[in-house]
Amino acid sequence: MTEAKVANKPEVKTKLTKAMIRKCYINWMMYNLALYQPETMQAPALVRMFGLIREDLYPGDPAKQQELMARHLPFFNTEPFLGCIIPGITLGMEAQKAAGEDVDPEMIVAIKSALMGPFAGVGDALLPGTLIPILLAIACGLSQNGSVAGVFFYIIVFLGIMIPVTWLLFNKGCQMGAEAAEKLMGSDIKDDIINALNVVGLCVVGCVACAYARIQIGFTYVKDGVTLVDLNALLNGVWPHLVVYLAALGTYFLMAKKNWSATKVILLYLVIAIVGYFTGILAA
Amino acid sequence: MNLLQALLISLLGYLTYIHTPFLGGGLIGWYCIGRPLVSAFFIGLILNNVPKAIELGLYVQLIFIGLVTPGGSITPDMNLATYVAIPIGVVTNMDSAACTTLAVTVSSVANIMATPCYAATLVPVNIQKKLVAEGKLAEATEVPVWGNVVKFLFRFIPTFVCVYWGQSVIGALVDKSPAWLINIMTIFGNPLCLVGFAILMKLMIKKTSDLIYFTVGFALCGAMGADMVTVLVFGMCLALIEFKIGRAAAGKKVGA
Repeated sequence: MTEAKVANKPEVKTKLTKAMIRKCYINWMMYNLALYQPETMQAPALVRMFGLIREDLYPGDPAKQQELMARHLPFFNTEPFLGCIIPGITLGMEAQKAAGEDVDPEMIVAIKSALMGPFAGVGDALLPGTLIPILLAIACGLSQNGSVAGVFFYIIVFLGIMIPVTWLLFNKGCQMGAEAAEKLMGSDIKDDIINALNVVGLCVVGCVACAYARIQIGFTYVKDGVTLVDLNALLNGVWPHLVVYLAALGTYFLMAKKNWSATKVILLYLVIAIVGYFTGILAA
Repeated sequence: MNLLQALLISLLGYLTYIHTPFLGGGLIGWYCIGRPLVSAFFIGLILNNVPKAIELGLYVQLIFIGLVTPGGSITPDMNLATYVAIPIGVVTNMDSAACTTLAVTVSSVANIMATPCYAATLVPVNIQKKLVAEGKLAEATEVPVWGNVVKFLFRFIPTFVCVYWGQSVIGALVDKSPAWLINIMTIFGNPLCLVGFAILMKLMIKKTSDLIYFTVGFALCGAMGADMVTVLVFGMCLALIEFKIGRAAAGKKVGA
């Protein structure tokens, strides 16, 4: 199928080499946030990326090189790792343009701007929103009692997944151009994958919440030296860690449905801790 | 902790900051070594007490487990919290609740540095713009390398000050605290990781009925004493069913 596709397409000229792709990939991965600020965000890193290969694209032509770098000075921002496909696409288009293909420079900027929003959303939801917390929750489970097992698990699995994935995305971007992004964002399979990952994530978060969050009810009713009511034991008898479960749901409700900020919830926790301690409802 | 240890910890804090390129960029620095649990291992190596560091790092990790840092917004400063709360917690032998409380406090107070740091970063950014305009392209290419010194100053110095001089202050504070204050800190700190989980749940839950998956994980651990790997196996099983249902529904749509 791929062969047929290649045969149908007229040969596209490009100046891209494996060495250039590698150099750009490494420098994008390192410097994407190095000069991050709200005005141009990740743009300085793109300028650096093209600055490094300016001689490869336009040998001995300082005017064209300057144009190339100036084109990428304005604002750019996305999720830099899964979104590394965008610098890849941009690199692919610039390399075709440098080889004499008819690529409108405005088109390069337009595609870059059109893709950065969607990839920021999906990237943030997938990477720090799903993959990282799942792996960390497992790592925390493995590192109970101060063991280093979880630490090594996280380092090896996370980098073992992300370095090949980002390298692949960057390369696909270079070779397929905007078509690659379309395929990725257009297919509905990614939504099903995200949903499935979220199911795993939620189970794992439930387990971690139960294992680590501690709330101790201090209320007891003692008569003649005999404990008649121990509310903590009573509630845990209904369902183990019931109070923690309700607190987790309550916190979720305040943050997700009432749109409370984390700071506000933390202050509420503080108030509850103070009141709970002095009334004897909560115990340390 | 001695001067060399404080310097090493502050340097590692800078290297694993979200904007530092020199540890291979954000994937290796910020998202891997920079996670509190992983950082704790290295802090433990520096302080020669890995088990204690990991014990505390685990709880700091749990508060920030759902941390997402969307462009432009100012989020809790996990990096400073990690590199201040864990080392101080190790040398003053804090329990996990006290260390969590310290981490949360540092992460909110440290936000005041965000805007000045951004403003200072505009200096090298504008220099790069000027260099491109003047045609000094080689120099412009190198700006992100040396320009990162701004981020270095806003990381290394605060971390060092807090860690090196803060250890005796915090140590004295912990020693002299009355019992009621310590108890309140424990009550406050022990469930605090639920805030981190709620942030995560907010991201993962698409419809309220998804809460059942959270409940399944919770019940497996709480009522049946299942460990993490067992819960993971159950979770993957449920995920596969969810995935198949999703594909089947998509297939019908295409067919119709």
